[in-house]
Amino acid sequence: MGKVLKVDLTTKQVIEYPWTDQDRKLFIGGKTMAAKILYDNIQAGTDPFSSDNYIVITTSPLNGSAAPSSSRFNMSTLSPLTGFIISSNCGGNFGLHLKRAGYDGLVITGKADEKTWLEVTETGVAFHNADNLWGLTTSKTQEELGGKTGKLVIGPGGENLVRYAGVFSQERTAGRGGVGAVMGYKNLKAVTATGTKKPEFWKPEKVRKVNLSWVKLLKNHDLTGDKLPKYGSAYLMKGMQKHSILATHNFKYGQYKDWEMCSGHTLAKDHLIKNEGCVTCTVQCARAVEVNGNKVKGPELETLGLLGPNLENNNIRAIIDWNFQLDELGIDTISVAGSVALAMELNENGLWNNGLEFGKIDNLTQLFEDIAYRRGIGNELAEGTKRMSEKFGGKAYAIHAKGLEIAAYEPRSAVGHGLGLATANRGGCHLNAGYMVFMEGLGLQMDPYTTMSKGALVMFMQNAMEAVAAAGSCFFPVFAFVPSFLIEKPNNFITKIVNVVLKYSGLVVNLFVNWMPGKFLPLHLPFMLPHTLALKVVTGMNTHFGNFKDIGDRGFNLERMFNIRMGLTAADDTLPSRLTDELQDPNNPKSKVPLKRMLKDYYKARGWDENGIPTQKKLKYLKLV
Amino acid sequence: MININIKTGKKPFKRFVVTAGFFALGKGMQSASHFDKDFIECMSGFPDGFTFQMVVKPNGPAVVLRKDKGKFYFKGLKPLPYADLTVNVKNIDTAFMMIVTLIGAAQAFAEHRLSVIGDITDGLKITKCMNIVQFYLFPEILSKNILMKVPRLTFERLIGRVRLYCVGVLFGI
Amino acid sequence: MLPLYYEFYNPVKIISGRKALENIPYELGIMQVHKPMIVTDKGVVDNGLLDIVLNCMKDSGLAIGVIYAETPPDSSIIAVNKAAALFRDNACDSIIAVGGGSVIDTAKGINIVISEETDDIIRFVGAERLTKIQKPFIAIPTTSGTGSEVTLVSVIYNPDKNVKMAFTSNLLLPKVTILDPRMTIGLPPFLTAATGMDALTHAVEAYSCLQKNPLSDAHAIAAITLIRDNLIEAVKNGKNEQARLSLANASLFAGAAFSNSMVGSVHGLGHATGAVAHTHHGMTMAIILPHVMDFNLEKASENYAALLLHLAGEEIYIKTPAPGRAKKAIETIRLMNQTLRDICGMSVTLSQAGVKEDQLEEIARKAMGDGSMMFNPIEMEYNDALRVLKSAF
Repeated sequence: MGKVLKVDLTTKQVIEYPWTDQDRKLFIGGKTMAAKILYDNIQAGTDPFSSDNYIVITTSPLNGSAAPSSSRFNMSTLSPLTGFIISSNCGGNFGLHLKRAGYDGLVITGKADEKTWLEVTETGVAFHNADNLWGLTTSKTQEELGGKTGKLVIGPGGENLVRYAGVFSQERTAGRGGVGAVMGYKNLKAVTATGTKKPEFWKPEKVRKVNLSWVKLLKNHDLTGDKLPKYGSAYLMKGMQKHSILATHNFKYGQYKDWEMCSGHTLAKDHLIKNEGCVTCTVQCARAVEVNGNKVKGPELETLGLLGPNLENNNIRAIIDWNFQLDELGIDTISVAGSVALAMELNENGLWNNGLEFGKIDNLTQLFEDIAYRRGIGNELAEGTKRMSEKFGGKAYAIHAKGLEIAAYEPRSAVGHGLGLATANRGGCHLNAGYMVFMEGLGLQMDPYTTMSKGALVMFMQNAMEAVAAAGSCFFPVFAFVPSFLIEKPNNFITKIVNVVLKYSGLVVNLFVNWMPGKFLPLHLPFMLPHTLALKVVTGMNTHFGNFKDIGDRGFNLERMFNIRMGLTAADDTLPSRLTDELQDPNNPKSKVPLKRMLKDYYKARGWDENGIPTQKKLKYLKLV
Repeated sequence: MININIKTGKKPFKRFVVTAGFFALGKGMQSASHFDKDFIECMSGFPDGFTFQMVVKPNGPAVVLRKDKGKFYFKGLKPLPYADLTVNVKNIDTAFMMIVTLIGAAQAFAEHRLSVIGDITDGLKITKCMNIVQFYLFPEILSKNILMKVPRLTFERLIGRVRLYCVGVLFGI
Repeated sequence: MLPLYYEFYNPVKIISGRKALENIPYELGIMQVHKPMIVTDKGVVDNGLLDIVLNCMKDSGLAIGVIYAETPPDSSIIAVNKAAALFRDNACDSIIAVGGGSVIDTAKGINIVISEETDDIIRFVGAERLTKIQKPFIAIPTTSGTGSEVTLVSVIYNPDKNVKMAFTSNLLLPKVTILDPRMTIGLPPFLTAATGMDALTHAVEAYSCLQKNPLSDAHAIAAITLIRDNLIEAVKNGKNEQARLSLANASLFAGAAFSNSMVGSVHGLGHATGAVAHTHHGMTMAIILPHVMDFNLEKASENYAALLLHLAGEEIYIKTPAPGRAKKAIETIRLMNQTLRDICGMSVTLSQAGVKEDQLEEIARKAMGDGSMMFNPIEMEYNDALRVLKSAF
């Protein structure tokens, strides 16, 4: 139970930020904790590029508890890309090091008057001049900082305020939404953390037991125990191609003829050196590959999909090199790929003459450099698809939601996922959206085109993802929510029944989960959200399934309230018209996202009024007023 | 109209309620000192022979307790001329409000409705003891008004409540 | 919002400003007394403050019955009884107290002994049990912290039982209190900071505790505003008369506030810490205040949010979103502590103040017996107290 430190870069003052036991009970940690802190501190009308913006770095109770796949920490801020909240999640050991220093979170505000890096230790925070680090790539910066510490750094992308610059730690990234740009604006090049404090657990003997049984569950599951370790997240490309949810040619199509050349299987066969991953994780999803004779981290699914099929590029070697280059420059691969795809289509349609073409890849390496340094057309691309479409046109195919570029899953063949994308708080994020593709093709195969039950299921999945993130866990254990045999045998009789039942399950899910007060569900389910038991034995708090899903609901509504304060309306719960109005398959009249119909059900499930604003009754129940 | 020598009357109903309440409180404290762990710990701060009384001013009923051999004993409803700790309630109406749980002892202290003759820290300890007994005597919906923190109703406490009601208030065990 | 019931009592005449002390003979005249006993302590005498008071009484025809300058710190029942005997032996008819909290409390104690016609003050320990009108009493504070010149409580140390006994009664309030900048101008920076934060704690607790009412709130707010604007200046530049007078007033307002509204766990824990580890009262309050505020947040957040306006000023209040104001108030106090640490070395943690980790359990236990704990917005049990102390360590 560490302290939370507030660091003001302008005045160089460091004080303890009040974070009480009641807060811990309601908000656990991670992105929910960060959302609360942002909600308490950022007034309406604040400019993301201002000293009044806050960056909140939070850890979670499961960090350091040896729970599997629980080495994630969170960075949240007011995003310069979307103008709404961005909670950017990252793996690696920074969270652990911060906890060892005795802190559960860091709240950074103000703007330093010289280039700075912060050193967080058990005794406090030291301010160092970062002139010698400024301009270095992310890996060089981490090398210069040296030592056995947790590190967060930005690259040239963040320094030059590229709106989707990310923050990098070891070989992982808090990529989305431009947290790196906010750090760059604040003249903050890096943050390090060291310490020797051991985290305390409520029942240490039980922690070991719970972790072991959770690891067993993951290892026995087909996805988390076999396929994902073997091929990484890129394994899913096969399913995406099969179900037409592989974004191709700037989301014009759902399948790509050369998909195999960019798939996880090819990556594993031809380029993989070995798996790597976070400490205590059984999946070890990182693909170590070779670039210029060095062993570096290779691309994961989104990068492969968006720099591959989405640009009509089948050269996986190029993708590997670009992934490394973008990491070095400190830029989010999803947003940059989305921006490039839009630029290519604008060029194709004669709206912007920029020399970029689908399938043409020889000028992209230079382009990425130009984006990071805001040179030439790179300066336009650094603004993101929303601003590009406002300047050059093409709003119908600027593939973003609320300004955040959408990841590689094409939602017209998974309309529930589309609903999730439109309503996710941070924008077009597949995880914040609830990852409904898992129900609509990649795991189970419920009817991907129906609107029935989608509102209820999306709400549940979004809340679950929110709670999982708050607990400090990675997304991968979510794949084990559904019993393995249902995934291994998609044509099995039972699986088919489950898929049909899901289609009609909306009312039941609403009544017995979404609208049921948490205290009536004091369960610890064996396969769905095993985090509940892990959290209980670590913290001693009553985190059974009912409370856990309420925590997710609370976090989601809190971020929504923050966004509303920043100007969000129901009109922002939308997708580009290519996805809602154009048919993915001209022969299938259902292959577009019927957003309006699903939004009505969704708002009702959520307990929001018709303008998408949480009602007072709902907020009172969630203890947010 | 000029009237002289007007006698101010009495408040018989309130008197009755307060007297009955003091009886229950006194017997309840005697009973609780026999079995409740928290109560016994609370009164361990007082020496044997310690006398405590709560008196309604100016001429109201009182509840008198004396600690002997580690237990409290109810010593009647008439105030003693001297006790180790005396809590005076300023008027019968305040006493009535306390008995029917409209106001708790802490709040009454804060609102200057009580006066203490004796060490104020002793008064605090007695208030804690009284809180425990009042929790037993009243259901949660009433004790919410008077206690800042209502203890959880465990099985043990439920038995205690039954015991207090059946034999405690009547026989003081 | 009005509470359902409250009592507010502050009949003390307040005289504040330059040359205020010169009014003493006149005030004694109004009260028709002419042979006062002066109660003070060695520190006041050594710093020349007593001479200033005596000078102010020149040319008035008054004779001083006896000067008792042996008040121990924390006062003492023996001292009170001894001084009361001196009062009687010298046929005095009024009391003038010149000093800090313990001197004023001693004077109140002497007044009890004389007026209740007893020879041992211990017979009158309790709350609101005094019945006799007290002798005329003028209080002249020489610190800007305790506010005892307007409180109805007197705390006196009992060496036999090794505890402090509390006597409370509306009758204990002095008739007149005089705030003159000459009395506090020589206070060194550390004491200025510590006593100033003591006053701030009184005000913050009075604003959030059990008997808060509109009048005590008004006093608390007035105190906080003055402290916000003058404490740092007075610590940096002790000779600034205006700052000194402002702090003296702030301490008085804070005293009037908490006397009528009660204090809470900060004082409970603070008293216990002072008793066990002998830390300075005001500094201990300052250290513990933000941590108890964290603990109270669940119930008291509305009160703390309202205080932000006065603690930090309009600009910060408007810039902070409503749900975050209570926490910002706590931050502001922490910042104040840190600034004072940077200027005059005041400690910001219990460990810096010299408390040992193994003393924390004893302190928590002792705090449980303190009366103030009863009036805290959230009831604090032993485990809670220990946790708060650990986080303040």
